[in-house]
Amino acid sequence: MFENEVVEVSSLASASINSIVFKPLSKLYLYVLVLNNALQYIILASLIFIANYRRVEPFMSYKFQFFVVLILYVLLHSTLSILAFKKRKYALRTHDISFKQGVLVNSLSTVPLSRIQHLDISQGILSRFFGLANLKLFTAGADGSDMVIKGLLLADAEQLKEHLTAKINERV
Amino acid sequence: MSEFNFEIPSKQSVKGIIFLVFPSIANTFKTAYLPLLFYVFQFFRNPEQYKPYLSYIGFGVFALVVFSVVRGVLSFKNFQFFISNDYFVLQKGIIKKQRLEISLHKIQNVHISQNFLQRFVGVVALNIDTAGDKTTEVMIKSLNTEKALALKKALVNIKKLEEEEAVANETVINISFSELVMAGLTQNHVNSFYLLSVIIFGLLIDIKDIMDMFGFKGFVENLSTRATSGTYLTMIIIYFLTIIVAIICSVIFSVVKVMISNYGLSVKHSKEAIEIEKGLFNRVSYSLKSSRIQSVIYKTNRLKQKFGMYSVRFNQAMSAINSNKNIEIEGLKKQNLKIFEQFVFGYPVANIVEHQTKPDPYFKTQLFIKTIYLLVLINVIAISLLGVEFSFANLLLVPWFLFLNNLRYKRSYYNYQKNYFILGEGRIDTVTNIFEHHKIQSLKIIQSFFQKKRGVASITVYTASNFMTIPSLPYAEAIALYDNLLYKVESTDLDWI
Repeated sequence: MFENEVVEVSSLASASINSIVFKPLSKLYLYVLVLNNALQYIILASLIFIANYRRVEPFMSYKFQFFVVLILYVLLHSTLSILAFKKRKYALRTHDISFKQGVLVNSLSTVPLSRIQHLDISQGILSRFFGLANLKLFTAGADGSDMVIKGLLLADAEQLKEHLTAKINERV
Repeated sequence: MSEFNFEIPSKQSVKGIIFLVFPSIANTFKTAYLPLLFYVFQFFRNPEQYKPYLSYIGFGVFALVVFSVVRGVLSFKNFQFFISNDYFVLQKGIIKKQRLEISLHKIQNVHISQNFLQRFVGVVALNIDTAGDKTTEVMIKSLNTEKALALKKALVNIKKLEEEEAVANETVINISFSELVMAGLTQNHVNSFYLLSVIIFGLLIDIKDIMDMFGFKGFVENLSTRATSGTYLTMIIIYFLTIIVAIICSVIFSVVKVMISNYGLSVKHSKEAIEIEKGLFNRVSYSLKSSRIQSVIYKTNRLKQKFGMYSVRFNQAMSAINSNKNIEIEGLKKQNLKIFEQFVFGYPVANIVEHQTKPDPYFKTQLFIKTIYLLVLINVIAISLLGVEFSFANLLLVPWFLFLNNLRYKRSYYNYQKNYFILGEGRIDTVTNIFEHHKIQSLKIIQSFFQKKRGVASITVYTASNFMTIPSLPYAEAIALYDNLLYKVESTDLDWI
């Protein structure tokens, strides 16, 4: 008898991927994203400052255009990354794990637990500060089939890893 | 069992020194051939001025050859292998010593191959294929045939080998010379034309460089202006001739390409594996295991279909970089395909035309938009390089791309069966991907902003050897297919390897 119940998420248990409830990432991860973005914008701004100071040529003649493009980029990039954060969700079921993301292009990928080769938890500097972690699932599949769930609480990530590792070991 | 004792360290065949020396000399000459050529030319032109350098260059070449020979001999002396305690041990390296140990249990297969040079000298190469480990890649470049066979026997699980031998290795398919010629003639010549154009273009640039260097500046340009000057009649004749020559060259290229890689193709069947042997200059043999094959691709085209011919490609799961992942063979008949199906899947694959499900018509729009992007890109690059005259080429390019798009849609379908999945693709070629559900590693459903508006989505299927995309399906259908495929993978006990 084949069962594919949703694990601890909701009572909406159903076989269709479309009707399960996905879990959002930790809210703290938004801070990481915002800080990362801010860092990127600061680097860009300082580049412009240097260009202005040293009178680098293509920049000096098109100053206005450069500023417009930069401001548009910052606005678009920051909105998209916040929207993208809200779209990133994951769900664990008895037999598989799914992750969805994307603002302009929505994607949902699913890895059957029986196809996971090994798991990996990593932490960036900012993530460590906020107590977050990334969980990476490796399959034997061609490039692009590995799944990365960024911005989980470290405790959650470890729990998830433990659960999945147990599942992998069950298999052998 | 054999006259070779692998417990004591042994070296490669002495004849093999040539393979250690020759490549390093060849490599150096490859990087230095333009300056050398330049020198030789200048020397003949103006011996007096360049004579003083002769001794330097002569000494340089001499030192290089000596260095290569010494290095070759030393690396030969330092290359040793033996078997001890269920481990295959390989030691190599002149200054930086390396020691590789591979557990005999981990060895999946041992490939023996022979390229043209090796056949000339009378040695074979031996390649050890391990499961999963990229670091334990072993290639022994030259061994006597008997020693290689004995080593293979010692390495591959003895019990397994005996089992294999119990079943007589019968040759199931032999592709004759005329069949191969046929396969070459019915090849997709458009592909050959693309390839050939790239090669010729590259050569032209090289020739231009050499001619410029030797003082014939503008040699290639002269040729091309001479070709395009003159009356319209001569121009038309020249274009016409060029097209005919291009067609003939493409056809010859296809035939030669098929010949070189598939000459003397034979397929042997043993209990656990299929042995494929082929190649004109580079005689290779592959041992295919059905569990390793992740997907099978059949290719044919209008012309081939008339003669009932196919080519087959096996996509294998391999981590070793050196080993050949994907094996393609030519000139097969329909009944030959059935033999492979029986071997790979254990049952014949149905040829049901009526269960084909076409993608949503929105796929056509998607293809059209992609074509527009491509055309804009081509035009921007080509016009900036070649001038505004290039825009006339669009008169040919646009209908050609539209024709290809139309074919792409026509050839696209999928066919969901109980144990396996068929995905139709291709433009000029009819491409049929077949994989069993349990070979799936992961799935992805993708919906762009525009696809969402139209209520369609695409699915990408990842196996351990490749990935395939099922283009735009109606959303509900895509979800149902996704669920079904997931159910199939998750409810099976079959492993993917």
